[in-house]
Amino acid sequence: MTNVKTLSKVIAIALLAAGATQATAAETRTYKASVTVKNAFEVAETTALSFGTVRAQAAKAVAATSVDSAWIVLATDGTFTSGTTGTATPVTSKLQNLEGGSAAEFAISDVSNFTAMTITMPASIVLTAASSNPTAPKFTVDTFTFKPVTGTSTDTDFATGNAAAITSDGSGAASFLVGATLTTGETTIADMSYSEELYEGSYDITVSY
Amino acid sequence: MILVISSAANATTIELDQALSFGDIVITDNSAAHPITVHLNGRVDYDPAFRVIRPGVPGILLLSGFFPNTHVYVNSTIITAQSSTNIGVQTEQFNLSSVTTEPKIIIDRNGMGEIRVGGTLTTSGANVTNYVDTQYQSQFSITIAY
Repeated sequence: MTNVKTLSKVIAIALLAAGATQATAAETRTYKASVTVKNAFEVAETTALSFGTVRAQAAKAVAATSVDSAWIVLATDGTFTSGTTGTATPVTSKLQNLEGGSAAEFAISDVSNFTAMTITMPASIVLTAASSNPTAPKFTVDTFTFKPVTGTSTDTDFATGNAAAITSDGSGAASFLVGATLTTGETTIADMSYSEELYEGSYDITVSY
Repeated sequence: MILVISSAANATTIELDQALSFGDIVITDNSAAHPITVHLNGRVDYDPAFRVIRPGVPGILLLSGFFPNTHVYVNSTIITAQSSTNIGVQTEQFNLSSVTTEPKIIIDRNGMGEIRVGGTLTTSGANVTNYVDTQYQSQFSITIAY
């Protein structure tokens, strides 16, 4: 019996001690809340737009009603079609793809997932050769089209500014192909020929929500 | 019989396990003050003025070394409502308009507890969207009483 009583006292003391350390206390700590703004898109050109190597001849600059031109359509799937435009008889302009060429491809990343975007491309740009005579003919590139590779509507070509034509995937990425039409110009030089060199120009593509 | 009770001092700790973040966002409309809210359960609410690249997360504070079943009362205070950046260029700022917590948590039998912190951030509403791409921070404090 003596042992039992002693044990009871020990427990009582221990509980008292525990209660004594639970005095009311308060602590204050300072923390930071953050947000990161990422308004800019990551858009990378993975394949450049190229009409390849072509055979070309410009139109002789005469009265506007007789000017003709030749053109090549580079579709977003990389295929070419060609033709001529104008009322001149015979049509003097020539344009034919000989080899190479590819539709451009762009990769968008770091955007919000499953979000529709609008792609805006230029109405037209001019391709020039660095060393050619200023009066030598130039090429025009216009009728830009794009086709989404990922997301919805991957079987459809869209014109510039078509709202919400491309949608990002679950990881916030998307990609699209770009095609366009290459058209010959006109010239006042006698042989109407293009110099045999690289013709190039730059264009802007804008991607927006 | 002499009985000596040795009780180590209770070392309570409060550790930041996860900082309150409103995520990585795009701002498309600042014509009015638009809010984005991170709830305590992790849900994030926002209107079409935002595009969310990476969702925000609530803050998580881990408490340890407490006596089991202790009632811990939690209070939050916004210290700097207007955000700031570490970059040296002019940019629009956000307003930390509220910070939320559970008013009370109960320490578990292992002496541990968790405080989750949510909040609402609003855009300036200045009708310009020139938020520079960078991180914006605001400060708040959490006070616990037990």
